[in-house]
Amino acid sequence: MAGLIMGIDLGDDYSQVSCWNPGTETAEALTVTEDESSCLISSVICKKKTEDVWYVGEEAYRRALLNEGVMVDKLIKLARRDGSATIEGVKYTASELLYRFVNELMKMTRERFGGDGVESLVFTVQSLEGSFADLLVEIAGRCGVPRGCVHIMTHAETFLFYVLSQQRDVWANACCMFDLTEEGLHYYEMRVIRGRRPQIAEAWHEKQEDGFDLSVLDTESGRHMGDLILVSCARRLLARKVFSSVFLTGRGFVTTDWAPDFLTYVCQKRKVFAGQHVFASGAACAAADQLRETSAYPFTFLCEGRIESTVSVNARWGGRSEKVVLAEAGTNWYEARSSVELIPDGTDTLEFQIQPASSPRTDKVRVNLDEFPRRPNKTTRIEVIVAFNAENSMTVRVRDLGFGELFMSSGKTIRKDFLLS
Amino acid sequence: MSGMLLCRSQQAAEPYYVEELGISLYTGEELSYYIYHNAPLIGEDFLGERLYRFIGSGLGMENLEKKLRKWADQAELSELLLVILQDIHYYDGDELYEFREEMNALTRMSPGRRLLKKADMLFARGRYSAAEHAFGSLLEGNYPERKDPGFRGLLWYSLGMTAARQYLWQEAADCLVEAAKDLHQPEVRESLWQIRRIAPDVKIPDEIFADIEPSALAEWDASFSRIREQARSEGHAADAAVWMNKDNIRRACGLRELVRRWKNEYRISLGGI
Repeated sequence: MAGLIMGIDLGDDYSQVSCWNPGTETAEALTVTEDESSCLISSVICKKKTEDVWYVGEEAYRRALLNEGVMVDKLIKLARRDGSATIEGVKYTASELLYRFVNELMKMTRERFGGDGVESLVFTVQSLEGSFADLLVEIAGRCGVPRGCVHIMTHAETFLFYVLSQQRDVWANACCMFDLTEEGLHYYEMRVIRGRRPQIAEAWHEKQEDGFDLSVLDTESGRHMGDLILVSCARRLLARKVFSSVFLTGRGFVTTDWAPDFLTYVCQKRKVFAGQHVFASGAACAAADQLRETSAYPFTFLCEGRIESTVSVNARWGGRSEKVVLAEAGTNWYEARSSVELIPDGTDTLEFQIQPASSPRTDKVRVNLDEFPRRPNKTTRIEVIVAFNAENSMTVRVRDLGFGELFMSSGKTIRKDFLLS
Repeated sequence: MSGMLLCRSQQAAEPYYVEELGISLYTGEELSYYIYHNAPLIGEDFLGERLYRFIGSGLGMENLEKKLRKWADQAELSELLLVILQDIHYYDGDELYEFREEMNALTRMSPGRRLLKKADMLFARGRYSAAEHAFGSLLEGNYPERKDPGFRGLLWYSLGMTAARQYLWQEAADCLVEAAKDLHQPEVRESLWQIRRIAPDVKIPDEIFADIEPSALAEWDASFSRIREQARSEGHAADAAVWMNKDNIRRACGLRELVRRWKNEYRISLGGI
């Protein structure tokens, strides 16, 4: 039996899981209700009193209400803060609780889809920080998923994967998405810029200031007010643009009958889809793509989580000058780590070319190597390591490797951080 | 042309050991550098199974290995060395031209001059035992240059310097006394004077210094004191001084490593590994 190809959307309010079905070439959501109508798993965990038994989602709520256990919510926020929670006098770190939560999700997925282990896993989160991404990789490892099979993506990235996995007419023009959750209203927009090779798939995301708490939808007047707010947002965001489709997602759009005016407005000459597993299914599509030799998405992705510029150095080999690419625009920044070994010839400056994917200009940044010991020309081998801390934050480390036993390495490393515009 | 060179050849897990210098080479660039800067040390025996295996399996340059094996019996050593340098791409066209010129000059040299160049290079690289052997061969061998007093004196002088670098003061003095018979430059006797200052027990005939003016002797003394003073703040002494300012743990580690390096240098200078 083949391993699972999974996408897990970790949200503060709820999480979702989708699995790639290689037979139908589609992502299938993990449903958590008997009638398979809901795929939202509340991001809460409950420990059964006096026993080492853990529950997640609605079952966790139920156990807590029955006073059978102690519940912890806001797991993602807690983990990002590196916080902790005390249950029955025992202090649990947020990472431990998140591990137990993810482990339960894995168990539920295996029960539903079967599968022998996990072949590829993509976590998708609202925003990506290095330490949180490291934690997710570690958690996946504890759940038996090797490092090389785990990828972390932002919601913007998995939104792109989801939309681009749909029929072409869905994204012929721009697409947008309203994500209404307990956290507020998030607006996503994507478009494909044609006429370039590869084409650019660009997405951006913005949290709307005029979002509202979902509890207002409990009353008739609140629902009316929510509808008015959405219409106002849609008028502002969709004006003077051509959209092929509009996606509605998040707990707020489990039903849409409370927002008739908004629906009337967005449905004008556009396809409108309401669904609950955009990010998780996008993540499953991405997980499946990671296993392909050639990507089924021949685009340069430009969005949160992806590097905007190509970083390269010019180096000579065999009498010819070559552009050595260290980070390609459109690469997930967390995974964009590369190295190259060079030998300075008549120079003590290492120069990088920074070429934004969306503009023809090329910027240059330099690292001065004069901290390294003076040696005869061409007898210092350097290792250049490029890594990113965010989409536009690059760290360069240059290590003096010496020149074998002819000129021993000093062991020195020069580190420089660059903010790429 | 300034810029960056791209290192394409892989690092060999099994290095190529260069006996002449007592070092191991791990990359194509290091091999190129060794060939380019040590041509007088490289003899016909350099091109052999060990080198072919290093290039093919170690550096992953199977094509170059095949080429060398194919042409081993047909081409000159200098041509094959050029093939290696060209394929590794560490040197550009101008540098390869210079190397070709140097190889041509070496080929045109008499065997005695070629051996002297090798001996001088071994001395410069700190391989004193091997250098001593080469200078000795020149003195004992049937080389026509030996009849030239200048050449012979130079060999004795070099042999004396080689012994001095190995702290063999009596041998060094004996060689320099021989050198002084053929060479009349004051440096030879100044070196003898310095040996007498370093090792007073060494037997040096007094008549060597008989015609030296007292003022010249005073100048040699002053020069010796200057050199000794300089030695206290440079070279090995300076390397050690760096560690004396560190904390206890780092100082102990640093000095241990330094002594290990010195011992290694000493072993290499004596021809060991």
